[in-house]
Amino acid sequence: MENPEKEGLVSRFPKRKFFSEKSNRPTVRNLLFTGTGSEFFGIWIINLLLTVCTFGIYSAWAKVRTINYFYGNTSLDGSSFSFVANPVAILKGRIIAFALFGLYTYFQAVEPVVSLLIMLAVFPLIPLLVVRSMRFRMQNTEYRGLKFNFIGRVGHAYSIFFGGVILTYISFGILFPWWDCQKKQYLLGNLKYGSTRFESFPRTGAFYRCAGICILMGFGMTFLMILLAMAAKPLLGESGFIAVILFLYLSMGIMWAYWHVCTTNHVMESTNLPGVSFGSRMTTSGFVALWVVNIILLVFTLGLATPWVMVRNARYRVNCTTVLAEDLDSFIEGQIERTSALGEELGETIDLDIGI
Amino acid sequence: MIGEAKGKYVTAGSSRAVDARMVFSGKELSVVDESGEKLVTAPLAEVKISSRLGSVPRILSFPDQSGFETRENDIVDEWLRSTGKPRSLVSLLEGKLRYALVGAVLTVLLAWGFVSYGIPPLAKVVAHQLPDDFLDSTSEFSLEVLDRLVLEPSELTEDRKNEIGQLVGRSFPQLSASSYQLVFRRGADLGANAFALPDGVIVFTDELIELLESDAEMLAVFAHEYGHVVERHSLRQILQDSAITVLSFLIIGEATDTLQESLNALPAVFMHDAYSREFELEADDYAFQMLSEAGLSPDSLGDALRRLSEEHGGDEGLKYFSSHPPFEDRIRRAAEASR
Repeated sequence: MENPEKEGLVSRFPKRKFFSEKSNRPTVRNLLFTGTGSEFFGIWIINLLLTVCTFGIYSAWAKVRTINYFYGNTSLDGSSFSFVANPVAILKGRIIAFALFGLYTYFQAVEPVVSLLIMLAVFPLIPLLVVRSMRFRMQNTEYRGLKFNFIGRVGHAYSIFFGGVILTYISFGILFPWWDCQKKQYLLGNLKYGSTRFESFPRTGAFYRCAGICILMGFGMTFLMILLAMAAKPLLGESGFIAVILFLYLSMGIMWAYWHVCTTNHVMESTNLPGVSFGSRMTTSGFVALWVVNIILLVFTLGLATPWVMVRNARYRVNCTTVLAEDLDSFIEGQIERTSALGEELGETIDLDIGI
Repeated sequence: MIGEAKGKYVTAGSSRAVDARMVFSGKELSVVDESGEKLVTAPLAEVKISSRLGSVPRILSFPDQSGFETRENDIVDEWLRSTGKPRSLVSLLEGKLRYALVGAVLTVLLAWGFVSYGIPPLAKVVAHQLPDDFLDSTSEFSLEVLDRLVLEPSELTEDRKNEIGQLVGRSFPQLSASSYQLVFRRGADLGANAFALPDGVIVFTDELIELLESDAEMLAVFAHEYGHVVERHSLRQILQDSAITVLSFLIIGEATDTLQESLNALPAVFMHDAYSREFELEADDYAFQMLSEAGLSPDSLGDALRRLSEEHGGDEGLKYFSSHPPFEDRIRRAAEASR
């Protein structure tokens, strides 16, 4: 594939019939996050209170309000996003997922074989759950009155989430960057806004480059750690061991942050809607600083700082993203086949991490 | 009607957005563009208005599928109020810091109250509703597993075993022989110890029998373990742990990232031990009563505990991370019960 990013911007523009008076030059559009921790704290705490008072029933409404707070406070070119899911649909999905989880926990204690059977029954459904949950999430996301959609085929999800995972394992992880690239291309390249499909062509080579640098960092850190351990032993004695462990966690965190930042930036930059392209300027140091402060906030407030942490994450992400668009006005509505919330809720219960 | 709301009008079926303002006649909402031309009009009752959520922009959807987005939430709220639709209670609560603080305190109190005073009685009721042999097949607690992992065959003579069995039968004649089964094992790494399995098997280790100096102490330990069986503590522990897991998922589970997800497991770990300590005290109380009824002093459990505490080298670690209450507390309670 020859340089798809440029192709997306230049040759794939649909013919414009109206708004021809506007300039065809892509311009940077304002992408803003306007939420604040203190305002979200009020929403978050009332969500918790009502969830506890209603024995969890309100959690479905709480989920919609939480997502809407973050969507509604993200505005692109003066218009915000919104999440229009029906909380009752989420509640239904949640009840089924919880019943299944309850049975699983119960049998784990009473008859572990049955809980294993439940797990074996849910496991083959994972790719299906990914698709259903992406569809539910996207079909309920709106921007300027148009809905997003996810049109990835279930068969394709199986080949990635089963076939790809198996190949990754038998290659001892060598194929992991390839797999991650395939997965992200599948998740992003099958998005639609209105009737217009996103295009995503991340390069496998870029993922391997990120992985290579990650491994080099790993070697460097290991070397540093050995030096540190040798220096710390006579100086600090037993507590030197703790210092080494802390360093180990920190260096693993930095490597993970590098991988996340490197691949996310690349994926964002190689994804576009016809006429709209994206930029991502996350940095490893910025990301690590964000997380270190988050962890400190959470630990010292026993979790009460969660709303601020969520707002910080959202703000960082939005601030690092740029949208370059020629025209945001001429997208049109698409056909949508509605999806239930069951996939999303089941997926959440088994800790499905889709992670785009 | 006073006031107009500035915002963006989005045409039906497309993403075309234009700057516009919305006016309200008292009955009808209209969107007017910058040149004053009316873009859409509809009775307020037919316009779908998103609920107030902090300062998040409101989206008003007209029957013709076009929409209007505005940040002027207060004006929209006022229009709604003038037609008899007050602001929702939830959004009022969310918007006021003092309500949020009250909410925070209430949430903590309620969660604490439910965890301490709600879950245990509920689990007790449920546990006693389930059939007697409910946990019998549980492999996690089975003697077989323990035999394979830690315990060794008892080195006591058959005579000694029978003697202890007869002592228990004679001292507590009200117990039916089928409600418990006394078993002896060498404790090995467990040392002097006794424990009850959910199906009524009560295990005494050889080391414990060597350690205890009187029949009364032996009976006291038996009564404590028998209390665990009768009160169905194993089953209640499982039920309570599951309830905590579900509750913490509901509360913390909303957070979407991995770091916070790992916090989900903490309450269950923390509460597991807290509940277990409660069960120990309950079993102690049960033993005090059984001993009194048999004409023995509850303090004999105190004596047994004192020996065990000397044997195991007293209490170690933090009070809140232990499955048993401190020995001193339990010995003191035994002394109080025998008064």
